[in-house]
Amino acid sequence: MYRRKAQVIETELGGELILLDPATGEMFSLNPTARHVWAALPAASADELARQVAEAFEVDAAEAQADVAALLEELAGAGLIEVAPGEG
Amino acid sequence: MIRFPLLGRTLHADGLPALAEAWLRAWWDFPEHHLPDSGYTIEVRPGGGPTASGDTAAAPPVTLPGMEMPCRALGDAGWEIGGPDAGVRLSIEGQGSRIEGWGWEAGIYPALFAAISEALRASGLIPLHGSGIVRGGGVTALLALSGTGKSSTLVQALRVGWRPVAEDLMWLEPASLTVYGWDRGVHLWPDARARFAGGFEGWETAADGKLFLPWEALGTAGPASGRLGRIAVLVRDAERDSGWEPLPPRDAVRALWESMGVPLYTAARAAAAREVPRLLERVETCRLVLGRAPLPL
Repeated sequence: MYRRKAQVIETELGGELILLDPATGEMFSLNPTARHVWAALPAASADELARQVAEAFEVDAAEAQADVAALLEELAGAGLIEVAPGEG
Repeated sequence: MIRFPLLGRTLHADGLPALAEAWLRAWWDFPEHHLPDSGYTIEVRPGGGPTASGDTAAAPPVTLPGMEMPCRALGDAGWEIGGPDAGVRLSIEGQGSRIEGWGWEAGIYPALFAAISEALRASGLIPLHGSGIVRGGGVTALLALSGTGKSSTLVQALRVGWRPVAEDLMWLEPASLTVYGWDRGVHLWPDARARFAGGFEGWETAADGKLFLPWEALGTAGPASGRLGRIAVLVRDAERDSGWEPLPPRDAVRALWESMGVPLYTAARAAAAREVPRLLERVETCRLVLGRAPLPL
């Protein structure tokens, strides 16, 4: 299960979604794909998210899976999401 | 028992030690600010200690001035800060908040301050940590991280004709954009007083070593209020000339969150997140560089 970290602050600003981690002070701006994935969280699996991305952006499944896998790794590395223990 | 209006809300406390009542009066009773009664009540009373339940993962430890205390979320209804010796429990309901405290002799006051602040947030107000000054039009909020120079900038502004609204904290009513000053004067370190505050007499030495000068000694009646017109983020840079400059929107977002603090209560955090972009649409933002030349105030 992938889910947003509770402490992350979201701010919608002129069509841009800005995330702020108050623990580190770091800010992040999400591109359209990342924003779509962020809005879909929590999600049971990366495959589920990839299916949604493939539908929304009309890309093939393999491309969507690669994009989502990279994105989840990036979001987790930035401390913005977490994987529930024993899942995902 | 004490009961007084608090920015259109009512603070009611019963059964507290005299020291706690005095603390509530000193920090929260500002009769200068008159707002219509919203019907919202904040009740403070003695409590029996921490509950066994609570999700610490949902509400991480809170660092308060002088202490770091564990915080436990109590579902969507509030939170608890502290341990067996001292702490507070905040319960938020539709038209009011209840705060139970224990360990009144053990220094729960930073936690109590956080709880009352959170109750006010839940009722729709937003804290802005920063100085406020006004001259003519709207209030300019001077926001910065601690130690950047908010208070010394405030004093320099007073010397050239600005009036003070707040030194360190304002409460914002977002619908009207009215800010209410929440201080009783100016605090400066002795070296800052020597550099910026010559001519102002009547300083007292506070417990933390800073010098304190009440608003009255600065020629103003007390904490003021006004419509927020501009947010200026202070940046100290000795290599550059002082001056006003544009502020990128993302920096404005960061500065606002740093100034507001992040509410622990989920609904208050969501409300604050909605208000940030609205504020930035309605209020001018800029950066004030504290550099080499005199400030362009």
